[in-house]
Amino acid sequence: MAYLELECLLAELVLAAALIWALRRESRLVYAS
Amino acid sequence: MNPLETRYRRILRLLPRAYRQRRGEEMLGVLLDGAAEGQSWPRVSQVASLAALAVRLRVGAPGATRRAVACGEVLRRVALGGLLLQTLVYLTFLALEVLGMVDLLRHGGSLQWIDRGWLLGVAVDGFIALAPAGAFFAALTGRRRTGRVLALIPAAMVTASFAMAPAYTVASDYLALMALAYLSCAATILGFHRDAASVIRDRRWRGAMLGASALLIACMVGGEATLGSIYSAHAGTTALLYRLEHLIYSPLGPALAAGFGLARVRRSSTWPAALLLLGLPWLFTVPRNVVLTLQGKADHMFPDLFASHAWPTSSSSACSPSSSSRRR
Repeated sequence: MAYLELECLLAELVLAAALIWALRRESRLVYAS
Repeated sequence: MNPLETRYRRILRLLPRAYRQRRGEEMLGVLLDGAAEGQSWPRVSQVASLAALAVRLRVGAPGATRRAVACGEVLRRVALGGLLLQTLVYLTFLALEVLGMVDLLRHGGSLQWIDRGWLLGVAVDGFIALAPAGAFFAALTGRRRTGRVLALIPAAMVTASFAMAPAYTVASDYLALMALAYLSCAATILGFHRDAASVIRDRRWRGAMLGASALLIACMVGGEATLGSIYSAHAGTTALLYRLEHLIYSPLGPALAAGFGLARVRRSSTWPAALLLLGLPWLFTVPRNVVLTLQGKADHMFPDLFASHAWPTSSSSACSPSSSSRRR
């Protein structure tokens, strides 16, 4: 159970990376249109 | 330019620039036309109304920018997700209280042990579990004001708990629950404002709430019925409570959230942003648990759930001669 905190941190890092990826993708699409 | 116009212009600066450029002069004209003779200051109600409009425009009211509309979408997901999580947490508390009573009676306990404090705990947990669930369904069905008011209840309750035991709150995992309550309360107020989309037709939200609540209750009641007790100390042969803890507050949650966020990346940034925000309250548990782990005293998430006052043997006054044999 002590790993839960580590897992929370990892999940947040993954989600932050996913958000940056999605935002960059969206801005590319806006510029392309 | 008279002083009133200068002051109105200053207040209009609260509005997002794009909206101000489009509608600012027209709004100024209306405000000046409505001013009384000799009036030199804007009315408080006008200032409040413009400030509220400025906030609504930044979270996606009609006329807002694309980014603000996206921000509103994120906030609505955070609000609904936060209310759903809070419902599950308080349902767990409630189920533990109720099943604790059942457990006590099944294991030869006396009705006298179920005192007023215990019953009050059940009533309070039931009330707090219903508030976020009510806010959730009110927001989904377009009753936005009811949703906003009900979302305030869990936030008020965690604030009251903090006021009663600040040292405990800060030093325990309760801090995560407190942060979650504030986050979903703020997200509900900001995301479900009066200009927001009225009804959310996506049935998956209802399915998630009903399915998760039913699964949670079925696990706990099923455990009590089939294994004899939800308390490992009573069941003797099982540590069901710890299994439940693993199930409900397990690493499965963050992993599923991260996986779902990644799966939605190609569609839009809405879900990754909402899940990232929803994950923030849980990070409040990290510093405390890092310290405990370093001290060799690794701790559980919400450990007090399991050393609850619901269990009479945990307080010396309620102990009876037979309790020690039951505890084995």
